[in-house]
Amino acid sequence: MKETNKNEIDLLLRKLAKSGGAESFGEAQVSQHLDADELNAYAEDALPSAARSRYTKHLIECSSCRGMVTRLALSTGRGLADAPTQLQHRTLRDVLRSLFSAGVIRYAGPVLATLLVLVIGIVVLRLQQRESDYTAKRQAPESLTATPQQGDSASNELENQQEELRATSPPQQTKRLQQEENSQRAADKNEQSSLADTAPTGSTVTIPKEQPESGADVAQPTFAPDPKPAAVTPPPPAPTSEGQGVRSQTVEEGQAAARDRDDFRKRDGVVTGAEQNRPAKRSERQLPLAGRMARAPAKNETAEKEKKQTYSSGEVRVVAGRQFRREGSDWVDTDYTEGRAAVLVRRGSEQYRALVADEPAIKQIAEELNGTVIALWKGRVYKLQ
Amino acid sequence: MSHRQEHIAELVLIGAKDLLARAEDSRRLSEATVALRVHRVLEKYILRDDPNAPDEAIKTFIEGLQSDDLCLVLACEGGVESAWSDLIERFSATVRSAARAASSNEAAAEELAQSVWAELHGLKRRDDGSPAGKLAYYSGRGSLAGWLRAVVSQLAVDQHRKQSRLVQTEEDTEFERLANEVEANSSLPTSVTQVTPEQSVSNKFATEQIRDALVSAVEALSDDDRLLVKLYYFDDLRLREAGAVLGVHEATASRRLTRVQTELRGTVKRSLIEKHGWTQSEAERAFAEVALALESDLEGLLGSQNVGQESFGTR
Repeated sequence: MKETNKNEIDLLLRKLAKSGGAESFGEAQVSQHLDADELNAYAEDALPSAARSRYTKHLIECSSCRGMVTRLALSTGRGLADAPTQLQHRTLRDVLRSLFSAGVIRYAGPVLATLLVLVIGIVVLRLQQRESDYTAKRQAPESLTATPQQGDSASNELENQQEELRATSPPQQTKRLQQEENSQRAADKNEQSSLADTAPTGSTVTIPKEQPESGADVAQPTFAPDPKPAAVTPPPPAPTSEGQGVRSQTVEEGQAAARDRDDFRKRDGVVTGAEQNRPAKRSERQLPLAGRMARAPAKNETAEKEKKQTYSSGEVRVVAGRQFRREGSDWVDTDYTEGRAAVLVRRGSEQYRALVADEPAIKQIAEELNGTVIALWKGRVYKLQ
Repeated sequence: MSHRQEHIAELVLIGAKDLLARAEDSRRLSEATVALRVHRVLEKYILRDDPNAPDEAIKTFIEGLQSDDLCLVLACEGGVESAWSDLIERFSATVRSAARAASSNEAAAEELAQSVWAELHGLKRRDDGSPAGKLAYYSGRGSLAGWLRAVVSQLAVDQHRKQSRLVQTEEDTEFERLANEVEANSSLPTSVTQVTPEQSVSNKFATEQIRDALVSAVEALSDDDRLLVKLYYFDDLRLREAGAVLGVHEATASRRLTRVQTELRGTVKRSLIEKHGWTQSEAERAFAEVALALESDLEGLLGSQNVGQESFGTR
């Protein structure tokens, strides 16, 4: 209905205009026209508001001056490029004004408040759900494999036993340690191959201490024990002089184990050694939200680097002091940012001739670069076609 | 000199100093020379509308002047040869381009461009002996390139008028012939004249009440809105072009036009009811009938003028 209403007036005005109703609409034979300076200042919107208003009155009556102002305004492309900023500004202002009007506050206020409460509720619920999932994930491996603390106590027991053995019979102890080490390696291998997702076992307390060296690899079950707790088996170095070489080896192993343990603890005991070897995506998914967020900038940096690499590998040319990169068949000013309003100028058009007359550098750009060129010149963006 | 005038003179002098300091090349102009021009421009664009304009408005206005262009023009007026060389070097392409746009062929464009340079230099002399060129009218408010284009356009119009007067007699004969042809053709039964709704349209539209109401409604619009109506309906500009003249974006012009149409409808309806005693339903029915009838009428009209490519309201 509204559209029809507009069309009725639209049609009436068209009919009046076509039937020579200019005189009826204030079109008059004016004796004095605007001078060149006034015409140009009006076309370039360079007049104070009072003077502009005075000349607007004249333009309503004088078709000759109106035509000239139109030609001048169009030849410079003024208003076409700057307008989007103005539009955005006005739109934002209008939106703000309408947002805080009495009508909106009266009716939309409660609706917005309800929506806000709903959104907050959903966010809180999701956070709680995530928290509970996270806790469940954390508790599941602990209950199945023994908690890190349990693992630590078990390994302490082992360390004590090994200490005793080391003190009594170093060669035997060394052999046992080597066996344990072998079993540990085998466990790692099996862990990697089977991933042991479903049944992480209480490996820490079931490490086979007596195992033939040759059968170490074969003897490990497919649901191999979690290597991390096993890695804590090497004892701290004993203050004895005997078996120094072995001790130095065990010290290194102990340090490595400690590092692993630290890593293990850092990841709250969720990520096992095998899991560390899994694709990064999976381990990242298992990170807490904060951890993932912390990693996000790194990801962005990588993307940025890739983008820069792509950019640097593309074709770049410098014309009239401006740098352009090729994007498909187009040339885009490297300082141009996506979304900026551009004045469309076709090569050979009157607007183009007027532009290059004022700005010879643009002519150089248009001539040296084929296809569509987006050039940034004196704060304006020109799209040359 | 009154206190106010003295104060304005002070402001102008300070503004002139700033302007010279701002210019990349002040061309050894004196502050007095610049101040004289600035004062004249100030009178024309500010003090004429508001003799008591605040200092801030005056300062802002002077700061908005194109310092480089104005210094170049003032130096040219002062007869500095290097300034003239710069002017020709920098703007000959602009003048040529504008002349080409205003002329039908290259020779005419070249002639027009030469005329412009002569006009700029000034063939006559003022009382003080200085050349009375058009450069004296450049205010520095807009760009010099734009001003030169305006000068070219005006000169082209003047030349065209002169030529029109010369060939008027010949054209009159031609017009008479064309008028006779049109008269003869109008008696032929065309598709447009045969259609009953169009006759109805003419009748409806000819009713003085609707027409008067619409004219009054347009006259009651603000100046900017009236100018938009003129540009869009009378000058046949697109919204993008009308927006460029008004200094607004196409979308803004479109929104403004929609608002104007709604306003006009309301005003016309009120006028028909209040002044001419129409009822609400009569006014509504009249609008509907007019729309229905005019649509078919204008389709033929616009089609014949080859401007009917775009849908109404979305040009």
